[in-house]
Amino acid sequence: MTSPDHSSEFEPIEEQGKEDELDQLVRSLPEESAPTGALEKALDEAAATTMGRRSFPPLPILAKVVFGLAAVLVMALLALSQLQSDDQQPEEGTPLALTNFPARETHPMLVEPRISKRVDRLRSLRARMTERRSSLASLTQFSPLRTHKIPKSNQL
Amino acid sequence: MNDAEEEQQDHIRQYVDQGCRKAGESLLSPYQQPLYNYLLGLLRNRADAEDCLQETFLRALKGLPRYEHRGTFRAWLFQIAHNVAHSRFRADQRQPIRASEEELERQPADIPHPAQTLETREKIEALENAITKLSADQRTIVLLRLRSDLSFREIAEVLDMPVNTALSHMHQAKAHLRHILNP
Repeated sequence: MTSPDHSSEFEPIEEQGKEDELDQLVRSLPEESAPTGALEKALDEAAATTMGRRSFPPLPILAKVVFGLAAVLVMALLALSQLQSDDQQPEEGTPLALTNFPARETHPMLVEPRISKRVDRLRSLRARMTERRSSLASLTQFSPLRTHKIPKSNQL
Repeated sequence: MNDAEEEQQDHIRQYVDQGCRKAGESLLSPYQQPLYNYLLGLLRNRADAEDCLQETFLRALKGLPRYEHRGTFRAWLFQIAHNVAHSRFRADQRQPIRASEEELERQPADIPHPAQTLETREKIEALENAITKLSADQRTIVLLRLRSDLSFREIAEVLDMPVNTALSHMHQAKAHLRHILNP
């Protein structure tokens, strides 16, 4: 809890703490000169810690030009290499060379039997489907569930 | 805001906005000696005082972007120094007031007084010993007022107490000192 400050109502604060002989004696105590390195070290340390946070200074014009040229050069090289790789692409219908396939990919010679097996399976499945469809059609044609009108002649 | 305070504000802006090292140096170097006087008087150990001085400057530099002009810049700096010194006491588990016998014996010898007479040296020694026997608040106020030249308003700001309390502590401290010196 803080008490209100009434000191200024009566006399200036500094007047209240008037200097006397004892004050002068304490003031006259010899003082040791402060180490000069403390401020230097603190400034160095503060600069080191704020360096990471501070954004990079603006680049000089020459550096900008060099970076621009380097970027253009890299793009040109990339375009050139793309053109060269396009030239090396096999013509349509030409069988791909074995070396053109990545190591982990399966060679078409190995893939082909698997595909033909699947095609066979699909064919048999389609045949079965057709068979079932026709049997289903015949079932619906002569379904016992279908209500037929009984001719009058047959009525009792 | 007077001219000196405006100059301080300029230095703060230059340091914070542009990272100007010279501005930081100009801002803090005038307080180097009074801060060291205070820390050495409180800690009674050169190495500790130097460490705390460096830590005070570092904390001040880091805190400058958040500094608001309330009270005086000097009081703000001494508040940091006071907190740093007390953190050191807590870390070391030492009493801030009662220095060890070894330190008390060593202290007068630490400070060279080649031109002083034996009588003056004895007086100085007695006064320094008397200051160490004051209570924490009294000793802090004596050091801030008489060794670092802070006003009572600034002392009140540093110690977060009303000005009247600071004045009262000073009055008691002087009475205590007189009693020790002239029993």
